[in-house]
Amino acid sequence: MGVVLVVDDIEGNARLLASLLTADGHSVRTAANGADAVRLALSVHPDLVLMDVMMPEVDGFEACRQIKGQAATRLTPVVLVTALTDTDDRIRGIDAGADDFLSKPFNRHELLARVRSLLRLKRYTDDLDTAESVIVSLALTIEARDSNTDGHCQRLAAYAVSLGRALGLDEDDVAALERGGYLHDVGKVGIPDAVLLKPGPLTDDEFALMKQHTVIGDRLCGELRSLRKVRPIVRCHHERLDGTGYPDGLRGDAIPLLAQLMGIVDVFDALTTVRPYKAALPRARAVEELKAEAALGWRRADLVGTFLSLVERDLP
Amino acid sequence: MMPDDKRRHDFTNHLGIILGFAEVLLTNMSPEDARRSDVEEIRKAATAALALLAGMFPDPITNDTQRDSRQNP
Repeated sequence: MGVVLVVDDIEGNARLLASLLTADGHSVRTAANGADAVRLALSVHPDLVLMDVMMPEVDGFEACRQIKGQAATRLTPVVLVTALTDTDDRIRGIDAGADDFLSKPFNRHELLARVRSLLRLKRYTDDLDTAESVIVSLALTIEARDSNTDGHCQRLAAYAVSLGRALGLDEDDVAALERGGYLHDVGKVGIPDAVLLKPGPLTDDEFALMKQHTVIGDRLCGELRSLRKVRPIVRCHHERLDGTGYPDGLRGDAIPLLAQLMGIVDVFDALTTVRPYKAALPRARAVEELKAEAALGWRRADLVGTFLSLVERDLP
Repeated sequence: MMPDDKRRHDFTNHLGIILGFAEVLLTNMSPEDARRSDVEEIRKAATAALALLAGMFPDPITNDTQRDSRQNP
């Protein structure tokens, strides 16, 4: 059972579909054209869209493309319903991101079976989405435990996205950097307050425990396919090029690029804000510190250089 | 789209609505309902018209799909 958006410019068709779907326990919204369909998809968040292809102005292909192009509706399944069955139309539909096709006149049993199956799939992707949002809330909760790091995640996400864009990374990588900004320290959920919030230097044992946040975070994200590009950031953002970082002591190119970028922006933000064990450094000192870390062979000088030029140009 | 395609598309749409609503009525009517045979005639005529249409505008894919979907209602 779910909310189905039926889109057809011929009222009889829309009413027929609505009648069949309502009888099967679904709730139905209807739209008479492609533009309304896109608008309703964004406001009603249907679980499924059944869309006629041939409509005046914005046709089914274009409306499908728009629904699939928006982050809020890209996981909503779209079924194109058509009285045409040309292979060309199917190819156009697949190009537009359609999940399935139904030919008119449709068989009632086939229609209802397809709708049920796509709604199951939608529930599954909703669960994945929810799981991810649970992890993000967890990360923000951890930030809230430590008032000194207020806004750290948000700033990191913003810095990392700017840096990724400046380096010309593709949108998938930039999206991973944004999520990584929020999630990089999610493993701190497994670190006791006594260690996490300790003012002053940590003992060797405490530091060993603290280092585990990278491994714990990696494990937390482990089951989520949607976070597969974020996991290396969570695990490797404390690695250094010379192998003196943690948790794995990776060297050079073995450290994933996105994790290297997160490492750079993380250090910068940590230095320029107050922490339990230190005061905030002026920005100029943080810039010197990052340059020194590059000179020591911990970080790639070119990446640090790109970030620092962004800092000088853009950051308030 | 060719004029034939457009005509076939429009005819199929309208016949599909007639056939679909006839089926909805049949599903909702009790087996003893006296009007059942009338609606049954509507359903048969719409089905025959769709078959005629498929013959007039041959499209191998359409014909296959219709045969498949009507086989196991």
